[in-house]
Amino acid sequence: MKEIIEKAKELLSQGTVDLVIGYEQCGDKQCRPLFVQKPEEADKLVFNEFCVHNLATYLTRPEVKQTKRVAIVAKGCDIRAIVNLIIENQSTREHVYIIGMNCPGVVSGKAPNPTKPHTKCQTCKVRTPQMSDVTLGPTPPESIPMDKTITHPDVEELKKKTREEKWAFWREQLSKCIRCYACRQACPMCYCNRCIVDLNTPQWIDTRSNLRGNLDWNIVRAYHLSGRCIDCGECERVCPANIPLMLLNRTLQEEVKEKFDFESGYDLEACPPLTVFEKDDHENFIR
Amino acid sequence: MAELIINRDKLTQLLHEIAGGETEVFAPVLKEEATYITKISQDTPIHYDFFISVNSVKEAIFPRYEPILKYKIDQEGVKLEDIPPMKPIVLFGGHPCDAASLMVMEKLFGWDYNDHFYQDRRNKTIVITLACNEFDKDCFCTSLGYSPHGEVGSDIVLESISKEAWKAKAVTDRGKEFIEKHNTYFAASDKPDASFKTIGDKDIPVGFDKDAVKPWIKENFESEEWQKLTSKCWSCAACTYVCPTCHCFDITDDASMWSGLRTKNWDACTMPIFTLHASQHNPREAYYQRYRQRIAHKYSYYVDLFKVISCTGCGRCSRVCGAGMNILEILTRISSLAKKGGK
Repeated sequence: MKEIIEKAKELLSQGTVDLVIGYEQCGDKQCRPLFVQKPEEADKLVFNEFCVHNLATYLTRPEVKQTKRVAIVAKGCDIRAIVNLIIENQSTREHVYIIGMNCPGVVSGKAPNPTKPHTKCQTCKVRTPQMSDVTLGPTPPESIPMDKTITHPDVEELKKKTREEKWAFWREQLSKCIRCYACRQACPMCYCNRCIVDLNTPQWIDTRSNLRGNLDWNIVRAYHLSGRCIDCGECERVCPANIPLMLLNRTLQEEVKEKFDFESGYDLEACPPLTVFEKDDHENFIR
Repeated sequence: MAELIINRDKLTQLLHEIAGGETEVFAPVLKEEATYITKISQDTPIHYDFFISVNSVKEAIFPRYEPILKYKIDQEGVKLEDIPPMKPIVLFGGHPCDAASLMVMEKLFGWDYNDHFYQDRRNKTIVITLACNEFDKDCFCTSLGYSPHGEVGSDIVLESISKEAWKAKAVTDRGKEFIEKHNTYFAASDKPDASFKTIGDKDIPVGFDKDAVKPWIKENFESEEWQKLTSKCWSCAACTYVCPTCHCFDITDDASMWSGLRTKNWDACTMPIFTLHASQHNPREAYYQRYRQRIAHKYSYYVDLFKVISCTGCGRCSRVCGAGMNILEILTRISSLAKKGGK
C-alpha cells in the first residue's frame, strides 16, 4: 500500500519519528509486525485483511518508550488500546503518531488459512479511526453506531447454561492452558512491570499448568482486564491451546456495560470504571 | 520380517484396546479445529487427517508438570510418600522430527544427573511415527540432516501407502516385539495405491548451512543483528512449549504446615522471570537477549555439550508464533551472514 510507505518515509526522513511500527506480508494469507527505522526499509509496509495483530502492545516496551516519537499503523480497534494506554499513563498522545487505517475488517482463524471474518469486526464501531494523526485507506463500510449496546451470540449461549454446566465448560477449556503467557504478551493492556503470576516471594499464583493454577491465572487476568479489555481478540488468536478467552473477556465487557454503561477505548476523557473513585458510586462499601 | 500393512480401522482398534489397559496411549486428537497429541482413553476419536500437531510429543515423556516428591509431617517426623511408578506408554502420531527430538532430549536428562522421571518414561515408551506426506514453508528437517521419512528415535515407522493404510516398518527390537505381540491387527502386504502421493527428502529445501550457525553465534554474541532479527518477538513461551527439544524446567514447592508436594514444571528462557535474580537484576533484561539465548542454546551451547543441535526442524515455533517470528528465516540469515563474514 503506497500511501503508508510514503507516509512512513516522510515521517522518518523528516525526523518526525524515529520508529514506525507497521505490518509486512509474510505468506499468501499472513502478515506480521514490522519495525521500520530507516526510510529505505519502509517499502515492505502493507495493510490488508491479514493485518490482524494489535501493534499497540509494543508501545509499552522499554526500547519503544525510549524513542523520541513512534509512529504506529493502527486500526480503530487498535486505537482503542492506545486510548487506554494514554488514560492509564503508559503513553502520551504526543509520543505516538497514529497512522490510522480505515478498515473494512480483518480475518481470523489460524494461519496458513485464516478465512473467517473476525468476530470483533462484526460489532466494530470504529471502522473509521476515532483518533489519528493521519487517516489512510479507502472509506470503509459504515460502523455500528457508538450508542448501540453490543451483545455477543456466544456470550448469550454461555449465559443460558446452568452454573454447573458453566463450571464444567471452563474446567475443560482452562485445563488446556499450557501457561505460555502468549495471551499476556500479545495483550496491549497487559503491561505490568511485574505480572502477579511472576511474583514469587511468595508465589501468589500457582505456576503449574494444572487446573488450579490455570483457573487462578486466567481468572485473575480476566478480572484485571474487566472494563479495560478493548476487544482486539489478540489473546485468543495467539493461544496455542485454542482457549476461547474472548468469551471470558466479552462476558465481562457486557457486565461492565450493563453496570457502568462503559466501553473502553473510545474516549480519552473517560476512565475505566474500576480504576476510578466516584462519590456517587452505588457500591457503598467503598465510602 | 515380511512387509506388514495396517489400516486406520485396525490401528484405531489397536490403540483403543491398549488404552483400555495399563498402558498410557498418546495419539492425535482434534480439538477446536487443531490437532494435538494427547493422552487418549479407549473411546477417544483419533484424528488422522492432519499435517502436524500443534504441540510436540515431548508432553508424553516430559509432562507440563509432574510431582517429584511428596511428604507428610506428623508427630513422628517427616514421612516421604511414594510417587506412583511410571506406566508404559505408546506414543503415536509424531513425525520423524518428533521422534528425532527424543534422541536429542535424552542426552540432557541423562547428563550430569540421571533424571529417572524422564528416563523411566522414555525406556517404557514405544514410539510409533508417521512418516510425512506433507510439508509447509516452516518445515526444515532436511537442513539439519533429518528426513521426512527418517527413522531416528522411532520404534516403528508407518509409511502411507494410501489414504487409509500404512506399511509398518519396525526399526528397533522393541518395535518388532510390539508388532509380533499385536500381529492380528497387521495384514500381509497389500497393493499400494499408485495414485497416492507422498513427499521425499528433496521436496523440503535445505534452507541454510547448519555448520555455519554455531561459529557465527560464538563470534557475534553482541551483534546488532540480534535486535533486528527479534524486534517483533513479544517474549512469551509459546515457541518453547510447543518445541520438541526445549527442555527447561522449574521446581516449585506447594507446601502447608503438615504436607508438601514438589513439582517439576516447564519453564522457558524466553520469559523475563527465567533469569530474574533475587536482587531484581536481570542479566537478560531485553527481549532480544532472551531470543538470542533460545537460538544460541539450541545451535551452539547444546552442540558443545552433546555434539548435536537441539532442534530437529519441525517448524512448530514458527507456526505458533503470534508475532510472526520465523526460526528458519533467522537461521538462514545467520548462515548467510556467516558465509559473507558479516556481523
